[in-house]
Amino acid sequence: MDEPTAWLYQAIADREAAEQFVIHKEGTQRCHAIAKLQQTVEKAVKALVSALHDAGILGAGVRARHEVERYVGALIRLPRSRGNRAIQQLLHGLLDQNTRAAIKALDALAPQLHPRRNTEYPFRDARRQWTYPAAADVFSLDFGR
Amino acid sequence: MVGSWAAERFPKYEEALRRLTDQHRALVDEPLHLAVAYLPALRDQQHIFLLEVVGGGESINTERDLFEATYEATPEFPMGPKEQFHLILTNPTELETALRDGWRLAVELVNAIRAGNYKAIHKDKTGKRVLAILESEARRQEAVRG
Repeated sequence: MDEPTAWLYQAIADREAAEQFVIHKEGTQRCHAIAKLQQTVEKAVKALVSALHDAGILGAGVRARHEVERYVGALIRLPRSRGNRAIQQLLHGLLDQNTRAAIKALDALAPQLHPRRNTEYPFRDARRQWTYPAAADVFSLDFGR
Repeated sequence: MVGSWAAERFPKYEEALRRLTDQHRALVDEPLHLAVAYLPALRDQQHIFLLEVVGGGESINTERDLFEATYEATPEFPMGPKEQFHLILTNPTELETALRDGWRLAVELVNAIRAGNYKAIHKDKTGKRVLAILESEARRQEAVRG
């Protein structure tokens, strides 16, 4: 198995785990669903980065950082050429404006240095009251909204 | 001050960089505010560096450095065998934080500006403000160092 495939298989496993949390009726599991969906997106994007690195298109491969928004930014800014036109079209189709906005929204819920609403650690809400991601009222059924 | 890089080496890549930034300006949800080509003093002098400051988000890297992607040569972006193209991608809020807190890639950028080894390729209203901040920081550091 090569590195891109390994990232992709783990992304699939993360998505399956997310779906287990999604089926819970109580809101207490939504933070875990969102965290796993963020991991799904992160690993799928890292699979793309790794594949483009292996293909000699991107100079640097996958790094440890969690935020995928910048990786996506690098992918859609790939210098155009006749040789990578098909890849460009695929990337811009996959990472269209709506998808990129959704990825940014997911990224914003990843654990932060200065905790705000996130999927893992306690934080202060808009009223400066302490709460925690699994609290029933923190994430609604449309998740990040 | 215009450094030797801006006068001698930048013109070789100017057209390709302008073509690339024109492509990036087409991303309407992430408007390109500022594009600056530069040469950091302590990096491989054969490589090409482009800073892009874009809108559409205000996220700040928790790892306290700017994001850098590298690309290999293409027929439309020809480079020599040992050359790579580096894209440093940030937003105005993150760049101001990076300058205030002395993030590594931001320091490299300011040093390149201080040496005159930079060229602004594109700037909108926000980009002009960001470039002014960068140039002001470079002047401030020049004054501190004498």
